[in-house]
Amino acid sequence: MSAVGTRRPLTVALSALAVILALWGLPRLLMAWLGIDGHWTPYLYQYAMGGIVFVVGLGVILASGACDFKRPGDRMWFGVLVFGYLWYAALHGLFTWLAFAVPFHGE
Amino acid sequence: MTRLIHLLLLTLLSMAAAGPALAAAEAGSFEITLPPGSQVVVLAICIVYFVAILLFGMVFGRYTKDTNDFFYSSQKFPWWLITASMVATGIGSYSFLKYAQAGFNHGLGSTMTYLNDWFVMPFFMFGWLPIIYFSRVRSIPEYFERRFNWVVRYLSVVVILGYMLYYIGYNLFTIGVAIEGITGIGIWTSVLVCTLIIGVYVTVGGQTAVIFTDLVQGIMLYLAGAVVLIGGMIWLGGPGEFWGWLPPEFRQPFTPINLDPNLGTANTFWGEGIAGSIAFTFLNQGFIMRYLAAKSVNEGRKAALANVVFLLPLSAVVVSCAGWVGRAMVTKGATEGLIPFELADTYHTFTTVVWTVMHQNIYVFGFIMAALLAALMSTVDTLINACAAVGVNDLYRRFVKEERSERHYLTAARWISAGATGIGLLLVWLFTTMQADLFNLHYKGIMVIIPAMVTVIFMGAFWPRFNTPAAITAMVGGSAINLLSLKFPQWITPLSDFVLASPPAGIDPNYSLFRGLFGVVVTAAIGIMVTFLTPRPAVEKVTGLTVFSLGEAMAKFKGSLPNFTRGRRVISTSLGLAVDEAAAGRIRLPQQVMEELAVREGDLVYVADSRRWLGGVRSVQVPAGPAASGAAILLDAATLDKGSLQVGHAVRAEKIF
Repeated sequence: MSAVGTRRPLTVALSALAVILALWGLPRLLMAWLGIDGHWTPYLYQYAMGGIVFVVGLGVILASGACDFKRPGDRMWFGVLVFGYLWYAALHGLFTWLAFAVPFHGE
Repeated sequence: MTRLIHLLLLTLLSMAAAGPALAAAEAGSFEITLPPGSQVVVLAICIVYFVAILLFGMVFGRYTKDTNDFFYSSQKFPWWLITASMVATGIGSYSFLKYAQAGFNHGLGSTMTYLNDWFVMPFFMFGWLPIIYFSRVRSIPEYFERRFNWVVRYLSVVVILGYMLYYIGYNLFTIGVAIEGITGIGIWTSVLVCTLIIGVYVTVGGQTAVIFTDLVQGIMLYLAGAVVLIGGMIWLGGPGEFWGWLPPEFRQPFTPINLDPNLGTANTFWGEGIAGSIAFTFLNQGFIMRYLAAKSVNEGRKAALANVVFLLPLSAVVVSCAGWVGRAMVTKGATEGLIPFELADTYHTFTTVVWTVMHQNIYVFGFIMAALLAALMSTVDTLINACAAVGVNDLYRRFVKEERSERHYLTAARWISAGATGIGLLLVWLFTTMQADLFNLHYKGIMVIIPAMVTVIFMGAFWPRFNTPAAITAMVGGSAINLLSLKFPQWITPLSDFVLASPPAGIDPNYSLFRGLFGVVVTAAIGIMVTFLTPRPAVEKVTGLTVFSLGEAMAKFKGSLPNFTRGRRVISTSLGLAVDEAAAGRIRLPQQVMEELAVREGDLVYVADSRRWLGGVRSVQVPAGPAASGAAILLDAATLDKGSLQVGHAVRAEKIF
């Protein structure tokens, strides 16, 4: 019986390091740029952090061959994944904008 | 049948027993004041609904022939049915109460937990879903044994069963509290009646009954949400007025990033959006069984897409809108010097707002209350069926009776369903003795128990090098350290500071959600360390069970190499079915149909009754045999019976792969 091998260990290690740095650095950049209670801070936080998780997911399914563009339907499903991310980003962005774009009736 | 009639009679008698409790109800115990006699109307509407669902669910019992039907409906349903049934499962009896309260206190931020699942979808759609589908695992613990060993399997059985039974009890208890608050009927009476009805139709009908009743209940839930939202907008003067009277900070779809210790964007994202979403999509046996009931992986992906992209946002609105409407009403009232309603405890936001916007219409109110019951039943039925799946496949087959007939295991599954319902009922007693806030207790429990298992399953599926010693150490060590963090919450601070960038001075972070991420990180760290210190697993041990070997998994599932040649997707044929025992467990299609579908001998074919509205209940997945010489589609009698297909009826055929 042969043992499981490791694929491209250097690439994996460097990617992990980049992800860790991004997870640490992005929130600090956002806080410095927009402030902790900025209207767009939570939106950008979620889509930056979520974007990192999402891109790692896309990378894993492509690198593993689970998503293979030569297989019928896989390209379409990959497009669906990207569409889903953009759909939610657009939906949340629209409501964040609408929150302050429409005048408040109260005092 | 006689047994069923007895059960039905028992149910009706239990309902009749609710009468004295109703009469004894005191007006002062209600959050809202119902007019005299109106409780009877609400109760009557609920009884009609209960009986209708009970009978509807029992109808589908006749389509259950073996344990594969009972748990997975033999992998034959289209995406739309799976999606529709998941709507009702995802909305529990407490959802309306909990999210209406959150909507009133936080505005549109109450939707955050529903709308942050997409980030893990690549892992699910291309990773976990095909792995479990093609490996034909019947339960999550079974995956653990095949990927690791029996120790990991039974560690997971304990956690999964404990989690699901706790959840059943929790749902039953919350519906009891809600009914008591509205009608004055005691918790035990209402919980007993609910338990009996759910127990009967799940025990008799299995997964098919669950899927079809949940379809109806999902529609019911959405109708109820629409009634509340539209009613609220009319009360306020239209959609523009609703939005105009909602304060801007309540209109934002996010709460401030880390200023709110209970529902801040950052801890909700990491705790619920990442750890919680992985738990929900990878570990929830009830949802996994829905996906396994799909006729193909692609149908499962479509179901996931429709559910997460379109239906979860709708569900978030349905369960939260009473709170938003209530907040707009209060703001308007404060400006105009009116008090729309008294709300002593925001836990009752939902019922109070519904009662007000419906102008105290008891019939509409009764309908909304029936929807609340629908939410309960549709969540608990899935959990009961999931408990039975784990009970039969992981415990009964292994430790009690091995190598018995399918009929024997089907009977055992029904008894275990009944047992799980009973244990859920017993757990209600536990909740009645608890003094703590149930919402926090619930989250605390999830974020302690789930992270270690979630991490092990994730690493097992996406990292072939991850081995058995690492899985055991990570699961035990991760759980223990996470549990200890309840005593030493300061252990979580470095992690929350790392991903959050330190909350401002004076803000005391509530760690209940961040504990989920803490558990994941600690378990992953242990797992990685032990993996590198121990030997690599054999290739044969992990083949077909990780994302790196899905090709092999597909070949194993089919029994031969997959055929990806493009053909027409679906053939609707006027050709009828005919019985031919020579087909011997295969389907024999006319040559022309085989060419159009690009089907070769050995390919998996899905054949279903041409009436699409049947939702695939009359269908079967079967390998293709040699082409038939005549114009009819040939199946043997056993396959025909397995798919509940009818001779002479037109069918449609589809190549799976």
